[in-house]
Amino acid sequence: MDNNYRIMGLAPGASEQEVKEAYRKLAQQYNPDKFTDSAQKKWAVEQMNRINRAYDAIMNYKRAGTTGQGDDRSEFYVYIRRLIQQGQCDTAMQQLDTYRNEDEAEWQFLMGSTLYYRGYISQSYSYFEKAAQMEPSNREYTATYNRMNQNRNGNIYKSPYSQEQTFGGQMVCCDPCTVCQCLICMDCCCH
Amino acid sequence: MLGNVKPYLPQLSEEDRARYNGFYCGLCKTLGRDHGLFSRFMLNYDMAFVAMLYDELHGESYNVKRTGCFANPFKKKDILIPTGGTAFAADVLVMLAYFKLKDNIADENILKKAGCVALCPYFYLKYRHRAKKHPQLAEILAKESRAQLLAEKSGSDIDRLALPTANMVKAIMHRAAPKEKKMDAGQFGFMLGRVIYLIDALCDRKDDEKENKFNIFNIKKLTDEEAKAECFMALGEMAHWYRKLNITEYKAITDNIIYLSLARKIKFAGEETGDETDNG
Repeated sequence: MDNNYRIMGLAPGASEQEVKEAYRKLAQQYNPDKFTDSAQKKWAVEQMNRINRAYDAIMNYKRAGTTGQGDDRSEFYVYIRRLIQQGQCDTAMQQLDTYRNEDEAEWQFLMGSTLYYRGYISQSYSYFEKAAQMEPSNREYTATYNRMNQNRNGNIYKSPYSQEQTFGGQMVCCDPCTVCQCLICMDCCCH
Repeated sequence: MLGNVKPYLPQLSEEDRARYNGFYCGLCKTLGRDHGLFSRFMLNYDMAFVAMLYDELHGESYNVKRTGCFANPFKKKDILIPTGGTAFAADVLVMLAYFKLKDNIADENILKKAGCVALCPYFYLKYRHRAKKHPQLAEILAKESRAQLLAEKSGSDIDRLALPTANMVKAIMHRAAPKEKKMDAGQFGFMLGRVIYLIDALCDRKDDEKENKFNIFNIKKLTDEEAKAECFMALGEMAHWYRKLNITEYKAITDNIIYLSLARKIKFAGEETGDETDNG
């Protein structure tokens, strides 16, 4: 998808309006009718074919965001994951916000991931929770949610120390009288 | 303010305890050597931890010298010979000290304010000098310090309020790490900054309420359990990124700091039987 934006001379994640404007300019620039030389004409036709393919791909996937259909939708999520990996979380956030689909676990998970990498940890937790609830069979969703939930409960994930080592066992405090009573009782038992 | 990022001593071996103390005293010595006597009063545990991580990530060796110090000249101790880590931590410490003083001038009572005003020019000169050596870091620290003041005036969102401190420590750890570990170290630093901010708020919430000072947990009216859950979640994420750094040389000490000491600090915050007494 990034390559398609490059062909259009745009940064990944450009808006629909920007894509249309860029297409109009490129179509004027590479219009085959402008060229008289046959070699140049052929080259312009090839360029226009490339531009048309890129334009169609971008627009299809942008529409998929609103219709939420099939492969285009999953391509959209792959694109969002790539943006997060590249550290472009603001663009990912913008795209997810534009093409909201709160009924999908993947949307919830990616929204959580974007917030997480932008530093909004508390907010991300509720999205991870929703993703794990919507699709409990998905290991990625449940592992992330379980890790955060375990941490929230004070049981730090993968800690090399047991709970008892970390916080100590329940202390039983004895005053001197209780100690004496116990000793007397034990002494009686021995005899 | 000595910081909360320190080991829980009862569960640290004698050898590791000596190594940690060597680092702490080594940082103090480096502060004196590079920035003068006054800077040594700004020494804190958090930066000793940063110095230790710097040396670990850069593979610097641990060499000590048996010597006395100005606080206790008659008792000889094994003190770390200044390393790249202590020099870096000392530079960061004096830069942060300047922002801390500025922050105190805005926040504290008249007596403390006067003290901070008196010290401010001294630390401003130190800051300016170090800012030439670490210009990008100085710029981020200045920007985030301003952002902190603005966030406290307008916000009541935990994430937004913890962001400036988190970004500061992220920049520090990013600078402290070698090229191949910068990304993970930066994320770790971000979470460390968040933990520092939230634990400070958790421990100070009763005093802040009495003195009518800003405290995110009081503003949000969270119960102690809810506030602790926020702190534990930040600590857990910090541990997640810490594991990616593959610490080996000082693992016993850093594991202790993260999984024991900080976890205990959160668990027992606000309780009468404080954790300080059993920490040596």
